[in-house]
Amino acid sequence: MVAVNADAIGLMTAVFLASGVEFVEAFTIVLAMGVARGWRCALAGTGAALVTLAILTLALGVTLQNYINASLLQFIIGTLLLVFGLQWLRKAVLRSSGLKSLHDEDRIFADELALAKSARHEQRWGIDGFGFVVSFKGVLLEGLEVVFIVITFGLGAAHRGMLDAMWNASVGAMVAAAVVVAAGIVVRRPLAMVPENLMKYVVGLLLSSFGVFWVVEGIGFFGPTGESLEWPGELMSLGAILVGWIVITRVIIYALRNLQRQLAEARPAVAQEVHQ
Amino acid sequence: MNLIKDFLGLLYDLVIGDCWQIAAGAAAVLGLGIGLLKAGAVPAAFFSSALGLVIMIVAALIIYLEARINYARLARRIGTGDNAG
Repeated sequence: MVAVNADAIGLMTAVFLASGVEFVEAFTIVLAMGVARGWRCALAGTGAALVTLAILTLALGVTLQNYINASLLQFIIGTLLLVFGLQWLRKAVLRSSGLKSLHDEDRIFADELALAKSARHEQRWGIDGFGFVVSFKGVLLEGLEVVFIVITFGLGAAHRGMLDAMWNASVGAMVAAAVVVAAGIVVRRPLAMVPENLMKYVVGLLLSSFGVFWVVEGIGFFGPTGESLEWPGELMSLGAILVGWIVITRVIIYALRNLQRQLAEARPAVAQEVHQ
Repeated sequence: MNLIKDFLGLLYDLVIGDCWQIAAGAAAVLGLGIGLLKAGAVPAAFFSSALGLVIMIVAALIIYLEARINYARLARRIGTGDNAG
């Protein structure tokens, strides 16, 4: 019986949001290949990538869980989550402040479609090579991020004593995949209506908050006792870190927006270039 | 060989991305944290909160300064008519 409580729902929601964004991006690529090069190569590439990802997840998950000291694992997971989350947060901050163009699935779809239509047709084993490779690489790249999210969140929660944490994290990702594919089948076009930029900001906040929380606990591995450190108030600190990130990012966005406005007024060509 | 190179490139893009300064900053703060922990230089009661705070401040400064420097560089380039970058 799988334990479903507030912690499990929180974990599943975090993984659902984070992996949902990645699935939307992968879906756009596969859709473009399916439309331009045929569904056979697009689905074959997707299937091959999913098999590769499943093998990677299994190998990585088992190795990390069974062969690495728990506190050290927490430190490694925390470091990866922190660096990974800060990349998301940085992009979200740049987008919100107008220093980076917003993520636009319709535009990405049009670009992919144009590229796919202009590429040469080369069949191998009855499958279009270009469509297969692009679908495979797209799903593998976005899928690797999902695997990373599932493993880090799952192992981190398991370390804190949550039952079936890896399973709960996997369920979050699987539900996200199902929702994206189902929505894609219904609308039959890129999922541009998904508030990706807002979702990426939320995910960046979550990843960075969990990253700080776990890396600080895990750094205890290098201390005199070799055991994880404790935060004052335990999980309350996680909430405080999240609020801290929200405040910090809003301040940065405000400062960068002012900078962008001043420079754009002085040199309109700069603002134009930034949005390209 | 190409496959390994591609895979490492993929991992680099995944974790480091297009702003290596964030990873470098995190590594520097964590290195400092490990040093302080080993030396016992900070009271244990404050250590976790203090380290968390320092990580967040350093990360915020890097994100802000990196964006500012890049934007100023772009403005300068366009101002001098050099769009080659």
